[in-house]
Amino acid sequence: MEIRNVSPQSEAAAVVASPALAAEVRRIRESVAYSECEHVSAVRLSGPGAFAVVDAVCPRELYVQDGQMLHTLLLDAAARPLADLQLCAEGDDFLLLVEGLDTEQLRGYLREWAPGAGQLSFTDLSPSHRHVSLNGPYAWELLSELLGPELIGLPYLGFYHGPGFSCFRSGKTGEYGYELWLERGSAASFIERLLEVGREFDLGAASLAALDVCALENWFFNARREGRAGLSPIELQLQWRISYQKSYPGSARLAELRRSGPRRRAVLLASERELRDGERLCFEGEPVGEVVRAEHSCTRGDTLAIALLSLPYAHPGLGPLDAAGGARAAVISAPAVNNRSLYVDPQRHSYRTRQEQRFPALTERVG
Amino acid sequence: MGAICCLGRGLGALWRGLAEGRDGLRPIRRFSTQGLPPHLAGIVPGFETSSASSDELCVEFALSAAREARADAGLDRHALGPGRLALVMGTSPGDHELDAHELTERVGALLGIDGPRVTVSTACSSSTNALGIARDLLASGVSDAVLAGGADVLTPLMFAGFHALGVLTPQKCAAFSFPSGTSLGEGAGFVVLEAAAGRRAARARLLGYGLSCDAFHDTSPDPTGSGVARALRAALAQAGVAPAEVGYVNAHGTGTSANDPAEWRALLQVFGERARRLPVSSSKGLLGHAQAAAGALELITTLLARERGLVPQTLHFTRPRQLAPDDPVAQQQPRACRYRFAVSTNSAFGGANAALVIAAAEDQQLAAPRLARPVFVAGVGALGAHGSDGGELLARLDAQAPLASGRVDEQACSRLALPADPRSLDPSSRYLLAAATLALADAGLRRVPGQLRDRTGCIAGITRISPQGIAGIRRSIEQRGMPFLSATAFSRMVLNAPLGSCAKLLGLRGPTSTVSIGAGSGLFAMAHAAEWLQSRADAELMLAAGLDELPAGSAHGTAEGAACAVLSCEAGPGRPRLAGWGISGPARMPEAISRALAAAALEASDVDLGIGCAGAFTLGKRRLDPAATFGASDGFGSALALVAAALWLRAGPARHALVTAGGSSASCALVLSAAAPGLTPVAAPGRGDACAAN
Amino acid sequence: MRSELKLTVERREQILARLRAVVVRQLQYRREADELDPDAPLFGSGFGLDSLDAVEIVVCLETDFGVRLSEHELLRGSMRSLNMLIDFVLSHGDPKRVAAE
Repeated sequence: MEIRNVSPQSEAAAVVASPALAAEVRRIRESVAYSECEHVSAVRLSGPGAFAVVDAVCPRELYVQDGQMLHTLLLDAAARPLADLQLCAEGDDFLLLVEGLDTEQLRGYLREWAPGAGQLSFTDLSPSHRHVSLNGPYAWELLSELLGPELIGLPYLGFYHGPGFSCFRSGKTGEYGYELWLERGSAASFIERLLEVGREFDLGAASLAALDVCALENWFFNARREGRAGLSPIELQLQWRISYQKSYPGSARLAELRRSGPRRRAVLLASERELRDGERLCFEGEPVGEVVRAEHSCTRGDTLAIALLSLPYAHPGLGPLDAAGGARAAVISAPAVNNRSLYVDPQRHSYRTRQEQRFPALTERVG
Repeated sequence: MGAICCLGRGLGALWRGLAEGRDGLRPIRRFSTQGLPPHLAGIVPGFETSSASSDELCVEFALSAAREARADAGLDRHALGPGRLALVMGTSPGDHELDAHELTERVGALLGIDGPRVTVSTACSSSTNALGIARDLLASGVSDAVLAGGADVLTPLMFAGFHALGVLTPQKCAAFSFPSGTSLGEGAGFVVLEAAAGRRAARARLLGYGLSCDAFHDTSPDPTGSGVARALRAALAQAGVAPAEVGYVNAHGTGTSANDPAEWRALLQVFGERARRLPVSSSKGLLGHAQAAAGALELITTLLARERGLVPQTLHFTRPRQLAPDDPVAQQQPRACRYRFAVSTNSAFGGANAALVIAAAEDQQLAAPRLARPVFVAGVGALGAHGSDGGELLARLDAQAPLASGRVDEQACSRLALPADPRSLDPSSRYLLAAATLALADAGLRRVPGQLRDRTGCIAGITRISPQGIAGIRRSIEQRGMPFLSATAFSRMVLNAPLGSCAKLLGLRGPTSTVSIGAGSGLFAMAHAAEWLQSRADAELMLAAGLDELPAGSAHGTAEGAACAVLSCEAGPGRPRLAGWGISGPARMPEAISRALAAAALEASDVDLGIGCAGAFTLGKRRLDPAATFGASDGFGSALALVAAALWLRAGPARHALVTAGGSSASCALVLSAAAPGLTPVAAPGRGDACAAN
Repeated sequence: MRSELKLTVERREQILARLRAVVVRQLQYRREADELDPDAPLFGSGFGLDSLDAVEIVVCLETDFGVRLSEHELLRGSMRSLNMLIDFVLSHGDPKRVAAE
């Protein structure tokens, strides 16, 4: 359903993207971009009690094969997300890739919630490693030329170690995404080679802001943004990251919330005008919720927002919602972008021959 | 050799089709394809409208090809000793009434084969794998001649299932070309394999074979092709042949968009840039994808061409897809081409890859010497009615008190730390995963470390498809009709599905196989795994397991569960040694036992403990019968017997145990000796590795 | 809320319930229906369904909602979340089958 009756002359400013940001987002969406990252903490936990410690704090059941990652959260006692966690199983060790808590906070959290955390060896990988994130529909091709064809077989949420690097296939943009953790000693020359091979792929840099825009466009939870809003995983539509079958910090509160039934849900809004974080939303004159986080969508050319709405109104197609600042918005289904990576097949396609392909438009929507 | 396929009955029919470039793909008339877009298939002529059951057709095809092979080899005229002729048949259980091993037994009985009759069921790589096992039987001295090959029938279920997966081509299978997709086929191919010395002119030499597991996905192959590459390298290593010496590749080449590029990547990995100059062809455009019979039929096609100085062509090739061989022998007729060594590869659902290396009969190539590495039981685990605790298992056996129910204690299963949610797996996969996890833990490995995964294999003795899996697919057909049957349910309809899932979840990428001899399958799997570890250098660890799953409401006195042993070449405390094993024909248990004892350099009187059906052999001190306690089972029981023996020896003071199991397919005996310092490994008897194919 | 909007919302909820049932029963997904958030990703991330599950869903769309399988070109882009599937069913399904329980 399309947005109806959006008034063009509202008080809210028409949105204009910074061209640099737009270029970065376009690179992520159409070719491949690299980002030097500092926002992720990486820690290795080892010792005989590692499984038990991780199990004590992990909201999901620890069904994870060696060389695979489990995407979950770290919650506080009130079941609010503290961090986005990617748990990597490696032999008897676990690697924790955490967004939202720094290393010391993470150590404190483990000590608070997991008996036996003190006995484990807790190694911060940041001092010895640089984190480079590679995202884009052809990221797989660039990396396979750099690291070898085995990369193509790396399944989503798989990881492996190579000489001087560790490669985790995850990504939070909706495109093929690889997190490279490079040993500092050889990082510079690795990045040099990356840039060289990347020339053929029109490789360029992308800022954290660009990654955040892409994450929102693809409905990827951002621990540093909406993660700070004090909402529960149920409201955030993150139940897939938690289990009601086990105990962990916040599990009791979550079970309560589920029992009493959620009354609000975070949904994706689209608007032609700008929206502001915290802006109140009304439907047919009644207040129905507020904007949690809004962002200009470079890919679509409009504004996307996460809004917390009362349950009866939290449905795609519902609109127009009136924002306090004058913009009008409608609820849409997630994700908001028809990612190129859905259609690029490593067995058939290549960046070099991309002009010969006709892919569906990034903004194409069904229904 | 002998064959029956969509080109007709006999080698002559196959050759004529090949020479003329005439495929056997026709519209299907034997069953209704209503609701399924019309697809062509390679149905065996003369059976286009047959109303015989799929079991009857399978046996008929197998007999036709096997008899022709036997006559071609002049086997009738030879005086082979009793029990010295074996049968190894690759086939699919599919939706037959009979179990796969029963099909093999029927074929064996009708051919008068009184040696071991082994069934291999790894879907599309079954017959390639079967030829390899046959080679092993010869090399280890179990048999003097082996009829080896595969037989399969195109059933409505197979057709609907492949359609559901979206892998059938609207036209004719055009490997590496357009349109993508495969055409199904059926038939049987058999060869007679004999040890080299003193036979009449053979058609070729089977120098070596290799197996591997993708450990990637239930139905999609590893896109990097590294699984196929591993199998190829293992085969070449056993054959003592360098990749640079290979002159022709008969690829699996199904024509699907998943298989072809992965396979080409594999060839590039193994042969490097030279792969671009290698003729690589697929015979599926000619024969269709004959499933379990594919490997054997494709090898026979290769050999028929080779005898005339030719390599088979890839039919229906127009222009290459991305990632196609540079030389797919894209022409109407076979091409004149002489070469010394050829390889043939096949891949299957569950990621089971197999490869063979062949040479001319008179080629003097020396294959890699058989090793004589010691084999130890590094860890054991079993999940059954007793739960998962080894102590509990021994206590029950000791008491010899029958359990009220043979059903698996699911509570015990749910307490294990598994790499996947057990509730998301069918019972067979769940039991196997549990047993393997327990065994690995017992061996001190919570996970198989990354660097060991390519060299950790798994062999399972399984006799039937998961009853729950069968119920699932029947339900989906009932509810939605055959054209809409569940693709997921269909992917479980191969005998090696549980092993494929297990390998994927545990990351086991070494040699993999699913075998059956009916009763005793679990023990046979263990003997086969031990044989592999002892005689080859391409594996460090082998998991060996036996599995059974009961259908709902089954007879009292039967058992379900899985038992697994982790075999290793490293000695250690608590690691009994697999000192010897023997395989023989059905009703020939004493032969298997004496062979096992001889390999272990022991006398019958040295045996402290006997477990299993001892047959005519009387044992000394102590005898246990798992069947009396747990109930009869084909795969699980015999593997459980070995697990129990290992635990018993670990507990001491017994020093040697003999485990036996067998039925109407084969007899198997295994000797375990308690771990003791200073024990020197005993070389197993064998006559070398060369082996002639007919 | 206006009554026709209420109707739209109700219809979406009905279809959501039916799709959740497909995921739980046909795909044997080990979760309760209410745990399946409407915007959560179906493939890769989120529920982590795979290509075999995708085939199942396509078949269910045809048999339960009358979506013609020739529309499969659109499917990949439409099967991102339960909400997108609802959008797809509403726009390409057979209205009679969509309305049925």
